Amino acid sequence: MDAISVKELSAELQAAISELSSQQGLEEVGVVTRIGDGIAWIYGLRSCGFNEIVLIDGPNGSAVEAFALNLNEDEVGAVLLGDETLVSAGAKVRLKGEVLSVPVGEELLGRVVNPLGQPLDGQGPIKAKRTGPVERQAPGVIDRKSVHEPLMTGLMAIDTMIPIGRGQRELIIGDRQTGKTAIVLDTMINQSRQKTGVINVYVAIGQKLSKISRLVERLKAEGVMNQSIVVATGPSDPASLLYLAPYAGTAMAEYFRDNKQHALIIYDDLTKHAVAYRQMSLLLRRPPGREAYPGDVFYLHSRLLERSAKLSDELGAGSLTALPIIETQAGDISAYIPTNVISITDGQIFLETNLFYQGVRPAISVGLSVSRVGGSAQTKALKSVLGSLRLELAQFRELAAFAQFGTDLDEESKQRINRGQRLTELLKQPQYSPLALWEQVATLAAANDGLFDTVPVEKLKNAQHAFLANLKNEHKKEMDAINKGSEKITDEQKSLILEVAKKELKGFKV
Amino acid sequence: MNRISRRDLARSITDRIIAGEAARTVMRQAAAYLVEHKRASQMDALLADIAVELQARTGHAAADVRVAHELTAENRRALERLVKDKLNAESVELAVETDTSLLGGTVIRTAEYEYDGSARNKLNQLARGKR
Repeated sequence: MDAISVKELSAELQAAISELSSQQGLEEVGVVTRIGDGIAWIYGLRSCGFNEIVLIDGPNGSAVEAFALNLNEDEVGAVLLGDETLVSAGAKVRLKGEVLSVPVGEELLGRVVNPLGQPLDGQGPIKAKRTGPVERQAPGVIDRKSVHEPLMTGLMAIDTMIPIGRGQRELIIGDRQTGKTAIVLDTMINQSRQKTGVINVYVAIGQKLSKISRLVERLKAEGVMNQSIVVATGPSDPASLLYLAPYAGTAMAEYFRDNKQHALIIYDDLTKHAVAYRQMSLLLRRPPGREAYPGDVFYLHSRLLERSAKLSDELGAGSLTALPIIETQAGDISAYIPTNVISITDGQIFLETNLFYQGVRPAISVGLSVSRVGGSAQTKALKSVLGSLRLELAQFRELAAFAQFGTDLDEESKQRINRGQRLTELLKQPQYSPLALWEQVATLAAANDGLFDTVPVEKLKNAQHAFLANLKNEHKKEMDAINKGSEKITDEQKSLILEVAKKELKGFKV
Repeated sequence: MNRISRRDLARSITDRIIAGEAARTVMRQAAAYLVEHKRASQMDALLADIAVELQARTGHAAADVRVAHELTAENRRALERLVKDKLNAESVELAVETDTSLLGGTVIRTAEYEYDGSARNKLNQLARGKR
């Protein structure tokens, strides 16, 4: 150092000073006053914005990112996104000048990422050209269109009785181990099998990593992964990442919605999301309300789910359909978070533990499940053969409960029970085997005509398989026409289905 | 009783100092208040708030300057001019300190802002970018 001449030093300093002329060099700085439980309290940064990213200096020139959630008069509360152990009180904090954003685009398809868009699948960096803000305003009234196109889940119980439309928000609610994830997984698989082109975004919020790994393996095995993105957070991740996960997933899905495509987003599950937000809010010293959740827990989910929409033709007519999941305790759907999300969404699919253990899978409670907007999105082909399925099942449940007392029943009631048992059996579906539209239409047409009534319940599934196999092998062209779903089924198509059913089911009769 | 925010406290202290009260008396009272309300840890933050208030009202800015090597009188004047410019201040008071760990360049720090034009910072930025 001694060898450096004063002239050189002066030149160096002049150069440094000249750099000051660019405003970039002058930064607003703050200081970490307290740190703990993933929250840093910062003095200074008066111009810090809500949700803005701040950079906290760590040791050896490293920096830890955090985002500002509490803007108080005297200090800023920021939630850390990185390693808390690298941050100490007194550390310098700078504004990054941007709100949190994640990479978006087709480059993310087939990838497993964390809520910051960093890859978790060991397949190298994501070379996305664009980014999207994690928090974004939902489309306005003028930007939207009514939900009118179906989003087929491949599950007959849902597509027939609780149809979901593209752009709809349909809640899946039930206790633990009732098949909530199985429903969404089948829905994702169906998008690939039916070649709908719908992009799947699965957001795992605090899910066991082993479960996420199994799910990804299954998606790969079913060939669905190339049209899917998985945003994964595990139970050991900080609450800040769990909080961000659904917003980050939505930002990724919005890219497709805004580019004239159709996307499906699954939040698994929003109960854990609310719990993560509660943890953050309590640590940020926000006043606790009911069940210790903060006052804005409704807004937490409403602003998220409003981003799922069917866009107007002027905006490209893309859509984002949301299937949020809520886990209940002992079937209590009147708890705080379940009632909130029920009121935000356009319907719910309620799964019952009892039905699940009776072998009714998917264990959908027909009475408590509803789709408020999906009716207008149901395919004409399915509508034309639907009949009064929902009513018949409701009557069957009531009569079946009554018949348990051993009361003598009249012929009509016996007939209703008989039909109800068979319809319930037909609506059962093993996992990973979604049905195509034509399969659902054919099954329903035959069932409504009473052709399954004489088949013993235990042989019903085999009979259905044989019937559908025959249609597929012998009448593929006609079935492909039904599969388009845009028109009601014609009398010829219906009589063909009934004819095949009569012939095929004959061998299964008592 | 509502807790007085630190910024309100800084405003009140600045008001009194500008009004001509003895700074020593005002600061002793402020210290007593902070100790009584168990807020002594906020001393540094309060001083920074007072510096911001004073600058906003009187146009007088104070800045800590760290340089890797001693400043010449000419460089010091140039630095003062630039700090005045950047902070929109009428007068400026620089506390210059030599810090060889900066390796080169200069760091200017006021209550709210910082300019880090040191070679050390540039190397750190390069290292972060590489990571």
